[in-house]
Amino acid sequence: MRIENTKLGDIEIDDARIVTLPEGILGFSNARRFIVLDIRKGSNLKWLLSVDRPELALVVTDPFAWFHDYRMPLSDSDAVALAFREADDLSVMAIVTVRGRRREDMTLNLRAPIAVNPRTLLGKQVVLSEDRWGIQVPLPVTTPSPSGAIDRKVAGSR
Amino acid sequence: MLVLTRKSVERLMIGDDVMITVLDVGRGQVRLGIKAPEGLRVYREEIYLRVIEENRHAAEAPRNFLPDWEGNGDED
Repeated sequence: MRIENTKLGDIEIDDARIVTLPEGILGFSNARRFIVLDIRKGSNLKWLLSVDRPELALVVTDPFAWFHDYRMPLSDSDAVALAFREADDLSVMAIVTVRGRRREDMTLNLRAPIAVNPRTLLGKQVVLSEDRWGIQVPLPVTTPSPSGAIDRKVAGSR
Repeated sequence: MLVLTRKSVERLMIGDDVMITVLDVGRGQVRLGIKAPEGLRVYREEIYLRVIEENRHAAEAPRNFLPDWEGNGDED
């Protein structure tokens, strides 16, 4: 289908890749369907576009690529929301806040990542109950791992 | 706002499904146990508000935000 986005214009998207977040993301609860698009080939940063709200486009990244010790425990209720089975993989995206063009102007929200079950295409913004990971974590100076890691990491302990 | 007084170990029922137990009352701090149906989201208020605020800020990312370093080392 074609969607319209205020930032990126008219875009043709693959309907089969639409991810549904039944609860939306916090503050945008009426935006439920999203699509992940490359910003640039090979980049770890991607667009997460709302299919429903043309003005909504967020930058996301694979948190595991930047923080190798990152863990996202999946609670039982999260698992239910994602229709998660033990054999499922889980994609995790951290939302990036862009305050300027310098590296230090970009922060990751590691406290409230978006988890997606690629099998069911269901997603949820999970708010971690422990405060180990912050909401505004500066991007590390180290070069990230190649993208693609987003699909092969499984959430940490249950 | 409804105001109720509870002692340690006493409970509140909110509807039929949500049970809040006062586990411990300490110095300026209360420990609560919350039993709620799966799918009912429970957050600490300040975290909830900060995540909403951060999501809103994140939604303001400009179209051409990619910084110069982006792509260094992460392209084949």
